Amino acid sequence: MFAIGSLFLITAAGAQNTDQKLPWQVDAPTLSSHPANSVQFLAPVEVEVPANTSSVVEMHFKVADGLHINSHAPHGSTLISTQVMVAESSGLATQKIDFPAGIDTSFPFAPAEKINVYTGEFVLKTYVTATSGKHTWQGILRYQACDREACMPPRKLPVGFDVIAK
Amino acid sequence: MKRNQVVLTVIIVALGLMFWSGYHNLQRRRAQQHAAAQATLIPGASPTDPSTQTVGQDVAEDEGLPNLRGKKAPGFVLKNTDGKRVSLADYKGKAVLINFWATWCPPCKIEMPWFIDLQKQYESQGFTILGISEDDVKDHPEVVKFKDKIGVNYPILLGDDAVGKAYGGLEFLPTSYYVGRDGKVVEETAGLASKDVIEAHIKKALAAGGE
Repeated sequence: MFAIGSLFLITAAGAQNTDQKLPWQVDAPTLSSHPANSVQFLAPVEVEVPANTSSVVEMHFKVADGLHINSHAPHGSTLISTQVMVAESSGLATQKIDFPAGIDTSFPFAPAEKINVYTGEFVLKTYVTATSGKHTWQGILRYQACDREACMPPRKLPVGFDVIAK
Repeated sequence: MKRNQVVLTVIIVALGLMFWSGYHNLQRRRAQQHAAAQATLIPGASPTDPSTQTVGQDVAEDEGLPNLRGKKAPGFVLKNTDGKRVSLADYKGKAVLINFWATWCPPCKIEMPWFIDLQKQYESQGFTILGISEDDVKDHPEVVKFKDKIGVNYPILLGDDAVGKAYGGLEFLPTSYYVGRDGKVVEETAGLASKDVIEAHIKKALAAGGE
């Protein structure tokens, strides 16, 4: 539905206004050039942990170029923070998830405000304990992405990896 | 002597062919340039005109919008922040700016003080803004709080899935549709626009579909 490209609408009445880049749009990718999934789950596919012992698993994610997502603590009560919902699994318990500190960033459209965001790659640390055997850790990353001129509705990214406890 | 005449004739014919070929290529290039110019800019052409449809659609797709320009704005009935039902049909004969926004969208909040000014400025000419919040139902108190905090002077409606789908799924916020007095969409934008651009679109909506 959304073509990748850089065509601009030129209408008879609004040609001069509408095709002019605004300060916050300079060098910004066009809206539809953003991928459908603003965040990608990179790794792991499988981890080995000692059985019945708390272990840390690092989950690696990547935010698409040109976008940012709110961190776990983005400042501002109305901003949607990045969260993880964990599915219950027999023999595999998740004690907690550590979210990294984001970067306080101000954007050209509101230079006086700072939003704490993740860009590029970020890592969540998951603390798990598993009984001996093979398990599947499953969860959902909920995030909300914006670029410098628009925001996308909140999205849910299913995340999963195998846990082999010995 | 006879041989020289033959050589001269061959040279003349060759030169003639070269000139003819060059002229033919020039004509073809001019025709292509003319066609290209028509495809990118046809002053006064309607966006639904088949000759401009490709250009209009490309741009709308590029901006993540369904390209409703020239079409009737999809109707809706939504509750406002006071719980009263408001229909787009209530504004028949007026120019309307339908602005989709959310409290979690910082660029949306940049536009809203401009909307307050523009509502004041153009209300008397038969214009209104309808803000449609895309916040979750549980966040509606936040919508009311924000509306009151900045003194929004136009109706804020609480959006639902149906209106979102009717307006193309709203992949990006803010998204705005400018509707002329005849109920047809004259402009649509996704992402933060400047106040000047917004005002130009409002003027276009006021000028469109009048008696």
